[in-house]
Amino acid sequence: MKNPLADKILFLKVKSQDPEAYGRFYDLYVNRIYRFIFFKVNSSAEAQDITSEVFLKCWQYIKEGKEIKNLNSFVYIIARNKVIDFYRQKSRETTSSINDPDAPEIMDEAKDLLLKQMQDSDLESVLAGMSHLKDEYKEVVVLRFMDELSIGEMAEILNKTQGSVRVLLHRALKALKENVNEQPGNNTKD
Amino acid sequence: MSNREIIQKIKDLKSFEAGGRPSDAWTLSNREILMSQICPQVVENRTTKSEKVYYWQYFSNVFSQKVVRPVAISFMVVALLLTYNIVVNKANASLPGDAFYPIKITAEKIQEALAFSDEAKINLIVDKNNTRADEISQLAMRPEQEGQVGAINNLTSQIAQNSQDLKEKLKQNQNDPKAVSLAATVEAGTSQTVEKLNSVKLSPEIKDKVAPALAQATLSAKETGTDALKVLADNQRTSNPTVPDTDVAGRLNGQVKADFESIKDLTAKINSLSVPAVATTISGKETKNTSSTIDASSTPTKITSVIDASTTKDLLEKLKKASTTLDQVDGLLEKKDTAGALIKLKEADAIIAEVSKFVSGFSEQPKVEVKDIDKPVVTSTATSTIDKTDKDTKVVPLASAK
Repeated sequence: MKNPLADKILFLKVKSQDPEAYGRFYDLYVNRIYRFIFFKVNSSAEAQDITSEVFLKCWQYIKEGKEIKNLNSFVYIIARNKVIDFYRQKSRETTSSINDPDAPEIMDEAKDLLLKQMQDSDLESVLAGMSHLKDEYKEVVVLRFMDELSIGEMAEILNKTQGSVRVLLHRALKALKENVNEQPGNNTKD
Repeated sequence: MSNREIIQKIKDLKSFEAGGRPSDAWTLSNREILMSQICPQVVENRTTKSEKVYYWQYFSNVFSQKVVRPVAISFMVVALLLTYNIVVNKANASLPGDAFYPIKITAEKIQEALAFSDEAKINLIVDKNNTRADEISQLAMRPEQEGQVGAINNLTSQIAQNSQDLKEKLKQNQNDPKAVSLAATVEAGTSQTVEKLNSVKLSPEIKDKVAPALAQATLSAKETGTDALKVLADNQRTSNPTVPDTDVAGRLNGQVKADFESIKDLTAKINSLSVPAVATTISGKETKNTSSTIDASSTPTKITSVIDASTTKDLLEKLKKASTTLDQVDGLLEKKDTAGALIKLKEADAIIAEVSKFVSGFSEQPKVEVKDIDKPVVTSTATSTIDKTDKDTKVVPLASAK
């Protein structure tokens, strides 16, 4: 968010049910929401479907005239709920779940893509390290370091206190560091 | 890796699909789908925009191909020329008040600015006068509309001004070797203009508003033509004339014929306007129009009445005199005295102009037959019609008028 005033005006326009403004809002948020979902579902196809649903659902809420305090957090909350719905539905269909040890190695697709795109062992290690993180850790890492949200915004999205979010973030980073350093060729300890 | 390095690597991941960056194609197509779901109209507008972009890309591709490029450029040149021709034709056919008229005037001004020799300038002024005369006749044929009278009066004043300019040019070039050819051009052009102005048919609604100005423009053009003829006649009297006798005589004959036509038309008009006896009021002041002389400079402007019998007689006598003078011109031309013929022609022209100017101030009234034993056959405005006209007009019996 480079221009907070412009964003506020945009949010006001979106809240007043302006489709053009919602188009611009989509342009601003589509990458973040997709990424947020992608790290949770580990599949670009699934992430694409859920992202589409998120933006449609968000517009429906706006059209219904429901009170939205912070559109920025609101769209993440919808995304989060949509992912939960996705796993619920999936768990009914299969026995696999988020933390199922028998589930296919997460980030397989991401790893393949990365290897095709660039030869960076550090990036690969980080990606692999993230893939072994608990879901709630991945969530805070993505929100904080990729989407660059504030602790307050994260707290709102995750429905936690700011203190809890800080603790969670600290633990997530620690776990990620351990995972990365456990990767072959990254045995250095700080 | 340190915490900072790990955070940096996480941030770097953003720019890769593996790091959760959606493909651009999906982002765009998903946007289209979303917009179509939330507002079909918005997508329609976007599609039109995309189509425009598509067409632009298409043309860019066409021009980038080496084989197609010359064909495409030729096609564009032809299209431009066609457009130019259409615009020029439209502008040439336009009249004052039309959208293309300013283009026509601008083109004329450009041509004038680019003409350096007096010969070229004279040719342009002559053409301009003829164009203005054509415009007047076309405007006069249109049904009455706002600004029509103003436009015609403006055009007539332009003709008068252009005629004066031509006169000046002839004067400036009188000692020039090209003076004779310039005079011939002016004479031919002005007689064409006079002919066109004489053939203008004015509708009754605008006749009394534009006729005086039209008469003035005709007179100016005629005077310029006569001046040009004088130059030609003077040339004949020199030891080494460049203009043949027959040429000047032919031109003079043409003017004589045109004057006879004018006399015929004016006679018919005077007869149609005459009544047994009418006292007209000019500008609210009642006068009895029985004077034998007519002051052309005091041409009535507000008169809507018709001409009384004595004035009619006076006018007809003047026309008869003009006719006699023209006969003398014929005689002098037979004797090959072009200079004398020219002087007489000028006299006749002056008389015709005087009568024409006077008559142009009257508007023709609906004609009904007037039973008057003193006048054998007079078709004129009935007394009842005059009663209906404005307060300035009075009809008085012939006896009391005398």
